[in-house]
This record gives sequence, structure tokens and C-alpha cells, in this order.
Amino acid sequence: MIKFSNVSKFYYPDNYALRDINFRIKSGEFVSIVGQSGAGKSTIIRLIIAEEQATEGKIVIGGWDITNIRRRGIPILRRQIGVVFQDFKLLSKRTVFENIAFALETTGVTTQKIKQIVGQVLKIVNLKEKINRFPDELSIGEIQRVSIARALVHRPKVLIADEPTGNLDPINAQDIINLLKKINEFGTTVLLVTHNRESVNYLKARVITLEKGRIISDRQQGRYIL
Amino acid sequence: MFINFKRIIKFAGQDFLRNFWLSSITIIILIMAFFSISLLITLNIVLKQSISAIEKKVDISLYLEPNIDQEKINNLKNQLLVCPGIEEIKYISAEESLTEFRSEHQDKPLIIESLDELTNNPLGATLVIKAKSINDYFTILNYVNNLPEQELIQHKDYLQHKILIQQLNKISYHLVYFGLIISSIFILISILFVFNLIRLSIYTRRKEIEIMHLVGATDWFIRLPYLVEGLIHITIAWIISFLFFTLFWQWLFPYLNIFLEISNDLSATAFLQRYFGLIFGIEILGFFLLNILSSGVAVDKYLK
Ligand SMILES: Nc1ncnc2c1ncn2[C@@H]1O[C@H](COP(=O)(O)OP(=O)(O)OP(=O)(O)O)[C@@H](O)[C@H]1O
Ligand SMILES: [Mg+2]
Repeated sequence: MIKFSNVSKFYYPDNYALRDINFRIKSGEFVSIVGQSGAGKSTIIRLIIAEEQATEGKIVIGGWDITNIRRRGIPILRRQIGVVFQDFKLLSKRTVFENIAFALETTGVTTQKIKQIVGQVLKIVNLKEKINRFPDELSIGEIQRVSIARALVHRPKVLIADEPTGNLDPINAQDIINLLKKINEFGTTVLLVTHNRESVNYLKARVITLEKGRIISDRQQGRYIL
Repeated sequence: MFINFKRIIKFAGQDFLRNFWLSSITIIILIMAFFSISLLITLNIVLKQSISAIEKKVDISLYLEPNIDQEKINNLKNQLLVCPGIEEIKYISAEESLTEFRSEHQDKPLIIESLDELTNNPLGATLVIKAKSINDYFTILNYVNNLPEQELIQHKDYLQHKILIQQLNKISYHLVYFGLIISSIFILISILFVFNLIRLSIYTRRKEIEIMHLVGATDWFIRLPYLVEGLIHITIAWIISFLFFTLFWQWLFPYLNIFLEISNDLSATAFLQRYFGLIFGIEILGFFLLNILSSGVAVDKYLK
């Protein structure tokens, strides 16, 4: 599903965010990526959605070599990957419904269908009653869930969540992790970036550990080792 | 395709309303820019027109002595034609002069009666000289004054124009060029201002652009609503400024007309009608282009 071969990302003037990264994530897997701040976790996500280009190496997503992706291909790629961003990236002047619908409106889905899909994803994240609220009127946990809901609208084959438990108390964090697990059980490949020791250990799934831009461990049924 | 088009319009409309203050300020500034540009263009037109109208009106008439041989007159005329600044010379025969004189003084029986008493025509022929440009008048006057045939000329009618010519000569050149330079500078400033205003209004929404891009919107789907929104701003501002300008113009026109009495006999409305395309058409087209350019540049900056 996702394959990184000898990928490096260099930021001018002197920062190697990623160095010689190799991994392969199969369809339907649940993978956690852990590492200290600045280890390069978000950089991996930015490369997967072609927000940045790798300096070296090759990236293949679902059989599609996106290493030198053309501009016109980028929207198509992004509609196949759901991303929950570290900073949510919700529009503060739009309601929950509009924020989610927005991702669909850009693609020419009918209004009827949009209402239906938004209803479905909000049901998955259990936020149906907040559909007409604005982001400022929601708690962080709720915002996280809106963000997850939006990531799901295109029925992506891969869901990537960057620190979705970042600012949450343990109970809320646990909720989110369970939600991601549920989504994974429906067949979606999930890539979870996190700092949260409990979550990682609880999941008992594959863990890739990064340190200063390099992979220092990649284990099935891994544990939080930092 | 159609559904996308509908959404682009919808987004543009929503943006417009949600950013109501920014929209309003943008429109107000656009109105001011439109208004001043209209005023500058219009004043330039009026100025140019009055100058050329004056130039047309100012001519030099040579009233010749009565009863001169036609040959001598032709000779004089030919000599004048050699003078470089002369555009044309109109010949008015003695008979024509008399007819004209009669019709001019129709309502003064005393004059008509005394004319009737005369057996021969007291008037001579007239040569009306038109210059190519206002700057040529002095050359022509000089030339006329130095002609050897002074005895043929009864009197020259240019004195009444002399001051006017002198003044016009002095101002017209400066006025036109000064006006053009000032207008150009001003128009350039407004263009830069509006260009940056559009960029600013997009800058305030850079986060939105970034998000749209990240959730899989195509470049054009992102660009178009901003473009359309800009067109809405411009159209609204244009209509309002047009209405204001028309009113203002109705008010200003009489003053201009007194001031430049010699100019033309168009009414304020007819004037605007005649120059509608030149003033307002070019304006809105120019701003549309400006909008396409600046919103394109601005949006693309945030489309990594
Ligand atoms: N646009 C950029 N320009 C230069 N350096 C960058 C840029 N983005 C990231 N970096 C650097 O790349 C390295 C990895 O950044 P990254 O965002 O991937 O870290 P992270 O593992 O996600 O950290 P965190 O847990 O704090 O989110 C950091 O040293 C960061 O300073
Ligand atoms: Mg990060």
C-alpha cells in the first residue's frame, strides 16, 4: 500500500529531516510511527500526500509512484488518502457540516450525496448532534473527531492521523484510538503518528520508531521504546 | 462540470458575505479608484476637446479693400499658401460678404436702408486663414505682416484673438502634458493599490486555500471562487461609482461649461454617453484583467 525506498528529505540549508527511510505498509495494516519531536514523523506524512517532495529515494502509494508526481495528480492522490492533521486544519468560519462537506464539494459529488456521506461519517465519530456548530464551539476532542470525519469522506484506503491524541486527557485519547481501531477493522489502512506511550502499547500493533530522521526499530506487535 | 460551476459561484458568494467587512472596504476603495480614474479621464477629454475647439475657432481674417482685381487676390492667396503653418484659406467674395452682412443686420432697418442707398458694394472680399495648429499663429501673423501687398489689406482681424492665442499657446501644451502625466501617475498608483488590495484579501484567507488544497481540491477549483469574488467586487464598485459619477458630472458640467465656454455644445448626459466606452468600458475591462492577474498571483502563492 505504502512503500518508501531509500527516502531522504533534506531541508535547506543543513537539516536532514529524514535519512534513508525504508518501509512497506500492507493494505489493512495498523501502523504506529513514534519518535521524539523533530524526529521526522510529520515529514513522512507530508511526503505521502505530496505536500513535499523527497530529496532522494522513491515513494509508491497503492502502486502509484508519486516520487515525481505532476501537479495535476496531486488532488487525485489526496482524495485517496485521509489525513488528520496535527493542527486539525479546520476552517473556523465554517460549521462542522460545512468543513466536512467542503472536502466533497471540491469533487463534484451531488448535494444530496454529500448530506448523506457527512451524516455517515459524523455517525462514525459520534458527533451527529454537533453538526451545525462552529469549531470554536467544540472541545479539542470533538475537533479531533471532526477532523477524522473529514478524513473519511472520500472513503480513503489509507487514513493517516498525526498526533490525534496530542492534547487529550487519557479517556478522550483512548476514545480516539478505539475509533481508529474500528476504522481499521473496516479494512482501512491506518497510519498513526503519536507520542503517546499508553496508546502504542495498548494497540499491540506494528510500531516504527524514528530518531533524528532514521528508523531505529520496526517491529510487529511493537512497544513504545523511547 | 455544471455542479462544480454552481459551487464555485456559491463559494464566491459565501466568501463575499462571510468576509463582509473586507468586501465592503474593498468595494469602497474600488469605488474611489474608479471614480478618480473616471474624473481624470473625463477632464482630459474635456481639456483636449476645448483646446481643439478653440483652435478651430481662432482664425485670422484679412478684410481686403473693395474693388481689387481678382488676379491680385489670387496672387495674394497663393503667396499665403506658401506659408508653412497654414491649413487652409477660405475665400469669401465681396458679394458673399455683403449678403452675410445684410442677414446679420436684418433687424436694424437703419443699416439696411443706408445699404440700399448705396449703388456699389462697400465691402471687399475676405480671406479667412486657418492655422494647422495653435502654435503656428504667430508665424502666420508675422508672415502676413511682412507681405509686400499691405495696401490690399483693409484691416486684419486678429487682435481680438491675440491675447487668447497667446494664453492658449502657453497653457495648452503644459496643461495637456501635465494632465496626462498626473493622470498616469494617479492611475498607476490606483492600479498598484488595487492589485495589492486583492492580494491582501486573499492573503487573509491563505489558510483556507491551504486547507482546500490539502483535502484534494484542484487548483482551478480553488482559484475560481476568488476570481469570481473579485469580479463581483469590481462590478458592484463599478456600478456604484458610475452612478455617483453621473450625478457628480451633472453637477460639475455647468461649471466646466462656463469655464470652457468655447468647448462643445454637448449636454452632460450626451457627453457621458458619447465617451461611455472610453471612460467606463476601459476602466472595468482593465480592472477585470487586473483582478485575474492579482488573484491568480496571490492564490498560486499559497498553492504549494
Ligand atoms: N519547512 C521546513 N523547513 C525546514 N525544516 C523543516 C521544515 N519542516 C520540518 N523541518 C524540520 O524537519 C525536522 C522534522 O520535522 P517534523 O515536522 O517531521 O517533526 P515531527 O517528528 O513531526 O515532530 P513533532 O512531534 O514535534 O510534530 C525538524 O527538525 C524540523 O525542524
Ligand atoms: Mg509532527
